[in-house]
Parts: sequence; structure tokens; C-alpha cells
Amino acid sequence: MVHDLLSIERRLAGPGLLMGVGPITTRISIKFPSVRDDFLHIYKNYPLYDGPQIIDYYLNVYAKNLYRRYLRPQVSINTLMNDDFVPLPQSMGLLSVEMGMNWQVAFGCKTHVLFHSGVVEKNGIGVIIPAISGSGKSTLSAGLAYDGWRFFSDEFGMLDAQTGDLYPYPRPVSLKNDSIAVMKDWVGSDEPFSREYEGTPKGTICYLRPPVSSLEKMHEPVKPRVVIHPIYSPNAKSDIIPLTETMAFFRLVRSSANYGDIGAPAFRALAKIAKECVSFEITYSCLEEAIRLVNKIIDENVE
Amino acid sequence: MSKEIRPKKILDGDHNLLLQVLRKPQLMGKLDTPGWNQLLFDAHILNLRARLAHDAETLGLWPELPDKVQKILTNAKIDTASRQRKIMWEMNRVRRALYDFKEKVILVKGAAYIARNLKCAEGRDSVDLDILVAKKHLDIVENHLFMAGYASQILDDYDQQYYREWAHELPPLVHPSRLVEVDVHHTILQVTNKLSPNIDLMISSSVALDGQFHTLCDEDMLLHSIVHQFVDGTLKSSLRNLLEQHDMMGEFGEKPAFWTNFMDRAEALKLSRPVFYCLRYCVYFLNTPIPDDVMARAKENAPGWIVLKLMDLMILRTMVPFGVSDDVKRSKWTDFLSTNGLYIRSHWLRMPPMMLLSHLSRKFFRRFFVRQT
Amino acid sequence: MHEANGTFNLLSTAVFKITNAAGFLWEHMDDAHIIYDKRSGHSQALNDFAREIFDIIEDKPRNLPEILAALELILERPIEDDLKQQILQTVTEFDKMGLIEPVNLHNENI
Repeated sequence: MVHDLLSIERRLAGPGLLMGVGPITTRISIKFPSVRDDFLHIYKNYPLYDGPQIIDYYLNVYAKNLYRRYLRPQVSINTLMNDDFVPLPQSMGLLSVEMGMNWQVAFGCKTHVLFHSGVVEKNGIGVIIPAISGSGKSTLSAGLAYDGWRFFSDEFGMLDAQTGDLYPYPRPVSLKNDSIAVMKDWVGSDEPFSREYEGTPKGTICYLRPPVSSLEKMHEPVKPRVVIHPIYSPNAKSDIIPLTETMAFFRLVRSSANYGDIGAPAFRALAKIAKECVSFEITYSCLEEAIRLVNKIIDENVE
Repeated sequence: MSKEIRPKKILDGDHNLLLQVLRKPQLMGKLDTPGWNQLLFDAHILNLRARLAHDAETLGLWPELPDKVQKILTNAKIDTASRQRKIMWEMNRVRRALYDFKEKVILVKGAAYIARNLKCAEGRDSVDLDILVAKKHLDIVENHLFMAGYASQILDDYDQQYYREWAHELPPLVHPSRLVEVDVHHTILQVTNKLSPNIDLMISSSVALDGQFHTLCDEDMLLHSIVHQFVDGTLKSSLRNLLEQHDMMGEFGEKPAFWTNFMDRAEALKLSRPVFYCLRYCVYFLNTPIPDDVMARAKENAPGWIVLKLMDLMILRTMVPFGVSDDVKRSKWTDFLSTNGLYIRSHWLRMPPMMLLSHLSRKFFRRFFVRQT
Repeated sequence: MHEANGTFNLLSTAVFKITNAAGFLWEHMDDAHIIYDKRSGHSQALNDFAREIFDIIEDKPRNLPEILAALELILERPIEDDLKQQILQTVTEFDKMGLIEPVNLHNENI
């Protein structure tokens, strides 16, 4: 592990810094000093490797030419995985980094069944929170993480199809628009947050570092016990609807990025979750309410 | 005239770890971490990780590989297996769509290798399904596929016309619920290519997998791969293609009459020049065992030394990627030039120059105006 | 549109079978049978009735009238027209998903 900040900075600027998140080791190099600062702030407390490590993914954050480096700085990324990302202004460089890392996992990871979902754990109970964007799954996952739960991910559930274990992939939480203030209030400190990136295609974006306690246990798996599909609706009455096994199964299939690639083992693994876990859909109007519903489901259904 | 028959050692196979390992997979048992990173990086760029996984398993090396390497190679294996499954399933669906079509359908490229269980299919990434039918059946085959829900990928009238007049295939078809591209060929080279081999001969020599689905015979299958690499298309995935030819030569070459039949066939189809290139570079990069008399016969069709030098220069530069820690200093710029140089060269062979000019300029201007708007 | 007509004509004459090479996996859920096709990687939910039709074809290759006759035997009553329509639809869907296919498509391996 490297701890010396100067050598970290030098690696990140030059040949690339080796960083581990859950099962994945990425070599990242960033040519822009301001993007490096943003990166090192949000990835503080993540394991960095000094000695040689076998590398999963390479991420290169660079400027296409000198004009894009100095005169009108623009951040390009290369993931080595058929990406075609639009370059972003230097001020939004961290977004490019995050997009690149998301792409590499979403497109490249086939050893685990991937769910587009948040995952958290408490008392050995793994909870999968699958959802489409805008359902509030990031806010709910982060809310639970800063309320005593262990944070696995707000974006990628990773399931080992053979063992049926969920693995943590605790990248920074991506918060959008109104949820930024909600989470800052909830966490009670600005320190684990990134700058706020205004004027992105998705509005304002801000990243939140997961709790250190979750990062320390980023290699410890858990069995899934509960699946909760959240629906955020500002004016709705809160509600809990149980799902049938078949519904639970097909919703998991739909939320999985690589179900079709993994094949039969993924089918068996998802069927097992559909049959052995309890699955619910919840409708909620604010974070406190959602957390209350999650706790209620656990209390009433899991011993 | 004396000919230098070994390519000049600009980039020796011995300097590239991936080539060394492809020649001698046992080396995987001896790599340290930086070695693995270099190997896995190059293999990723060239889409050969699943191939390494297969080689390691076949040689019983798998248990000795570091855990992390096993994971990365397993990842590649799953990925490749899923692509092959998709191709096989598309084949199944095409077969269903062509239920009423009773003529020969010939699987070519990846689909043929998978269906025939050839060594070169192991760990090979296939993305499209390619089939070949007699030209007179093109319309009826296309109609059957439309009826089964396939749609043309090319909506632009100019491009449609271009395909129909000059291409060796129909505009690519895709079924919207599966998204695998199906290319229906009627010959193996652009119709304008002066090397266009006699396709009727190839179709009539095809061998049946079952009643309706066929593959080309061994000799033609290898020739097709060679044509695809040395005459047609870009050379971006050239090492993979060369490896495919290397595997076929190893596998088919065990049959007693293969080499004689193959060289005769290359002559009959007027493909002796590309065959010379293939043998030359297979031996150079992969140490392919080729009988001396075959090699001698191939050299009769070598080009003049200037052309040969140029070809060597370009092939050497496109074959191996500029890896993470390559000892040999190589500029990305010359790599780019040689790849694109080869592209233009193969395009040149495909279309008469004036046509090429009009095609490129239309493409260029269209792109230009689209950008503006 | 073409597809529907083409399938319909074929449906009234063809004998359908479940391919041997299919390698289906089943999971029985609370309210459906889920079938996974290893070749396509697709999963489909079948209710009890659809499962019955599937089993009838799996039992031995049959054409549509034979499937209807077998179902009449099981249900112990004649099948009305709207149920017939549903059966036809189910068989059409099976064919579309590739779960069944007309018999003279040979080669079990592809």
C-alpha cells in the first residue's frame, strides 16, 4: 500500500495509480491536476497498491491535444473497451472518471452477475435495491449506509453465481439535484462529499464517499435475504407491496446487465434469490420514510 | 533476382510476450506479475484472452495460474462463450426463418468454425453471423429473413445502392429482439475485385453439416480466411486472423492430401499471392509447421522485392499492439499510418480507383455536412 | 404482419417437436413455471396451461389438431373456439421463442 501523498500524486499523473475497489483493481492515470485533486479527495481511504498487482482495467484520463489540454481544456477518457464518450470540460473531469469506471464494470464484468441496484447489509442480512434511475436507489442506499448499514454499492450489485454471495463494490455514491441537500443534511458533514458539478446533462451531480467502515470491509461478502424495489414519488402515500416469486425473478432479470452473458448459472442464482429471499416494492416520498419501510420489512419478514 | 525471404527484423516475434506465449503457451507457467500485466494487456487489445484461457486449460496449466489471472481469464471465457452462444442461436433462428428455402446455406467465418468444432473456434470472439448463398437466391433468402422479422441496418438509399451494386453481401440484417448482425454473402470478395475467385466452384465443393447447412471445404475455408485478411477489409485484428489460419493449417495439415489440394486450389482460384503472404507471416510470427515443398511452391508467387518490403513493413507494424511495456520503441503515429495504409490498400483492391474516389468523397462530404448541422 | 400469416399457414400443417439438443432448465415458482433455454439464454414464464401444451409436444411431435385432441383428452371435454384460439397463440409463441420447431428442420446439433 502507498501512503505518501506525493508519490501517489506522481503515479496518478504519470504511469498510473493502482486502486482496488472490491474485487477490481484499476490502473488510473489522470493528466489534469484539478481532476487529480477531485479524484484523490473522493477516493481518500481507498486501498492503493504500491507493489505489482495484476490489473483488471486501465483508465486513462487525458487531453486529446495541447489545445484541449491548456487553451480550452477538455477531458477525454480511454477505457480500452470500445467506449465513445463525449469529452467533458475540465471542471467536470471527475464525471468522466466515474463514467469510465462504470462503463468498465458494466461492460467488462462477467465473473459476477451484475444488478443495476444498490446493495447494503446489516447483521448479516444482504438487501438488494434494484431500480431504474430516478427511483432514488442511490439516495436510499447512501441513506442506509450513513444510518448504520454497511454499504456495498449504489449502482452495481455483484453476485457470485456459484456461491450465491453478494460482493461489495463500494464506489462513491452519485447524487443528483435535490438529493444532494438531503444527503448533506443526513450525513451532517460536507467532508465526504465532492464538489457539486452544475450544468451536467443530468443537472447537478455530487459524489459521496461511503463510510470508512464500509470501505474497510470491501472484501467481505454477504448472503442476499431481501429485495426491495423502491419507487420515489414526492406526493404519494407510502406503501409496501409483496411480489410473487415469478415477478421477483423477472424483475431481477430485467435489472441485470449480464444475465444473458453468464447463462445457466445466472438463471439458477436468480431463481434461488426469487424463491429464498423476500421481495417487495415500496413507494415513498422522503428518505426517512423509505428507511422506516426498509426496517419494517426486515423486522416483519426476516428473523 | 534474389529475394530476401525472411522479413527484416523490425519487430521480432521474440520481443513480444504475447507472440511468444501463443507459440509456446507453457510460458504462462513462468510469468511474474509485470509479465502477466503485459500479456493480459496485449491479449485484451487483440481479443485473445479467451484464447490464452483455452491454451492454459488444454495444457493443464490452469491450476498453476495466479488466482487473479484465473479470474480475468474466466471473465474472458464467459464473454466469448456468450458471444458464441449468440451466434449459434442466431444460426438456429436463421434456419427457422429459412424453413421453406431448400437450397444450400453455407456458414462462413466464425459460425462455420464453431459449428465444425474447429480448434480455431476455441476462445474466438465472433460477433456477426455470416452466411453464403448462391447469388440467384439472394432475393428469396432476404425475403424469408424479412418475413421472420429481420430488418435492414442500412436505411440510407445511397448506401443500400452501394451494397447492392458493389458489395459481396446484402446490407446487414438484424432481428430487433436479438441484435446479432446477419451478413448474407453471395461471394467472398467485392464484385469489382480483380482477384474475385470463382465462387460457384467454392459453393459446389462445400460440405454438408446436415441437409441444408454447409461449410466451405477445408481448403476453401482456409482460403477464405486468407482472402479476408490479405485482400479484403481492414487489418485491425490481423493477429487473430493469422492465428486462425495457423490453427487451420495445423488441424487440416494432418490430413494426408491437404497441402497438395490446398496449393492446387489456391492456383485454380487465382489466390496464390495472398497464400504466399499468409504462409510467410504465419511462419514468421507463429512458427507454423509448413512442409518445405509447400513453402517452396508458395514462393513462386512472391511479389517483387519492393512490394514485399512494403508489405513486411506494414504487416509487422499492424500485427502486434503497442503494449504497456513494450521494449521496442514504436510510435503510435506510424502504427496508425500503417493500419490505415493497409486499409486503403485493400480498398484499392476492392474497387476501381475512380469509384473509390467517388465513394470516399461522398462519405467524406456527407460526414462533413452532418457535422455542420 | 407477414410473419403472422406465414406462421399461421405453417401452423395448420406442420408437426412440431421439442428439440433434443435444447437443454431446457426449469424452475417452479409460486405462480408459474420458468423455462430457461440454454441455447438462446432466454427465460420465459409458462402458466400451468402453457406447461401442459409444452408437455404434450415434448411427449411426442404433434401437429395442431393432434395437440387439441390430446388436450381434450386431458380436460375431458371438447375445446371451444376461443380456447382453441389461445392454444394456437401459445403454440405460435413457442415457435417464435424457438422452444418448439417444425420437425423436418433437421440437425439436432445446431
